[in-house]
Amino acid sequence: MGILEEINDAVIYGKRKDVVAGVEKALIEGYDAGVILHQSMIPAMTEVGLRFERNEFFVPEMLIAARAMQAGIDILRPLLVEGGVEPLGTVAVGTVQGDLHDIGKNLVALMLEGAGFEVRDLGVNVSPDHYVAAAQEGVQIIGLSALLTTTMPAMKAVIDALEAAGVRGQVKVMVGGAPVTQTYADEIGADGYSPDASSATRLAKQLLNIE
Amino acid sequence: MFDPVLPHPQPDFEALLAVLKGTRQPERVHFIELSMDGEIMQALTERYLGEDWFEWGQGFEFTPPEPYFKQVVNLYYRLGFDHAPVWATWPNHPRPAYRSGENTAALASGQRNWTEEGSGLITSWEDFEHFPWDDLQPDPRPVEYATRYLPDGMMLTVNTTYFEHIFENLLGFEGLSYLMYDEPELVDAVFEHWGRKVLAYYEAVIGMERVGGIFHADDMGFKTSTLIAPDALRRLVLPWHKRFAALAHEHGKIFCIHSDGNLYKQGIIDDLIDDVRIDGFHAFEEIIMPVTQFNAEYGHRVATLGGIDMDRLVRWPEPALRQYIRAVLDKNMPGGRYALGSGNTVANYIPLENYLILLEEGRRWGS
Repeated sequence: MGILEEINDAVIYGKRKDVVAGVEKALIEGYDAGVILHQSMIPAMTEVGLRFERNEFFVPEMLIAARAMQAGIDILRPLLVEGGVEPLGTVAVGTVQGDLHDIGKNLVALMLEGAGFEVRDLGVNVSPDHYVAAAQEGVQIIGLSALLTTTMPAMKAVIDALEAAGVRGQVKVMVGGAPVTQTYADEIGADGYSPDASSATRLAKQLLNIE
Repeated sequence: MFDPVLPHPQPDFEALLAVLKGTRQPERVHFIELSMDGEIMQALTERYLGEDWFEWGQGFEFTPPEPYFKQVVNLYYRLGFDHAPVWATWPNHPRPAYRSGENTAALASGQRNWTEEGSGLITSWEDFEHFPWDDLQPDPRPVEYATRYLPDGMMLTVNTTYFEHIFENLLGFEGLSYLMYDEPELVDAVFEHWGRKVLAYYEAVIGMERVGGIFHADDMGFKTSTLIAPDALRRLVLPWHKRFAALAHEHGKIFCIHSDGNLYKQGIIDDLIDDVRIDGFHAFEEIIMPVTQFNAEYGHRVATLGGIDMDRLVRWPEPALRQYIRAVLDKNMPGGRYALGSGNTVANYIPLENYLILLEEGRRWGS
């Protein structure tokens, strides 16, 4: 098994120490940081997402894989910056106003990062003006999360606020959460709906026309 | 104008049991709930019973005084229930971490506390050793208090949580997730210790004369999956459920379970029915498993409890909501093994008038 495969395997199974050791070894062997990221680690997280969608992996497995991936990225980050490796896109994620649940939103953020996006986590109980500010600062996608049927309307409030601020056309809005459906996403004028964290990465790529 | 309180209720827990077991055709719609939020109970009591509500806003670490249970029992009675749920309290339990935010529920005001989803009270073996396990003893007072006000024909259902308590309070869900891989022995120890506590509670109350059964609550899934791997549920959680169920059955009482989430893809529902031997299943969402579909697929094996979708209860306009509830009753009532109620709990974010529609349609059905 080559070193890139070893790192890939270690990320998939959440073996943080093995990821760190593997990344360090790969760098010593002369692998480019971008190659390690794009040919080993991102495919690993994609595989984690697919296994999650197939109900072969569950939230704990996804969390430890993301943690292992993060440990590797911590080593690679300065080299990636130095090498001018660009993220796939920028996404601001947050749980809408009135809702303080964050596991779903955190999983989406982890999977997006694992897919190569730059993620700005706006946190929980986020008011519409914070999403507007993120759009004005140039994020390409806004991800809205809600756990409760009573906080879903806050998603519409964000879209209305983006319209009112004149930035709706420059940002894509994707939504998700326990009570949210494609029908509701269509009703409020969102650009996309995702039922889980893994498919959220696919949706983000589609929204930005990334192959 | 529909008045939800009955002047002369005639609770009949035995009839409810017979309907749920399928040994008797229902003569009327029986209602069942896991719980009602305080704001809902307060609104119903003040508006329809004309009584002041004894407010009790403390967490599960405190046992409410007797007047609280008097009004809870009376409300369920006057609404036409055959049972009243009594939740366990855990005096001396350390207060879990909460985050506080604006409460957006229709009947609420001020702030609402949410369980911290990250780490819980136990993050290490040191925390485990210092946790006051020995101070957590079963407290039978809620059942004793409620029993004093229980009308003839009515019984109590006793409730607490096991897995849910662990991932909400003891370990936190993210904490549990990481510890399952970082410190699996610690996870095992926490599940074992809390399992013993829950079992001790049920042992303390199940033999009481006016306790009709256990209505255990443990969310095990979310929209697309189980919260942790099915094999982990089978190893850590279901064996305890099986013990709780066996205890209830040894006393000739029922064991029903509430769980949110998708328990269908990986067959956990079959484990609950065939191995744990639950008598009734509760918690349905239309986007996961419509209650009518569940009853069609599993109704010959287990009773179907509640099931009126929360999103619809909250958001649907009156005509559509009435039509939906009638359709649920039309499909599920014939043959028995069904009791009407919300798909989850009567949460404070359900508009009160919508919950009244549920009660009204239940009363009207078949008449």
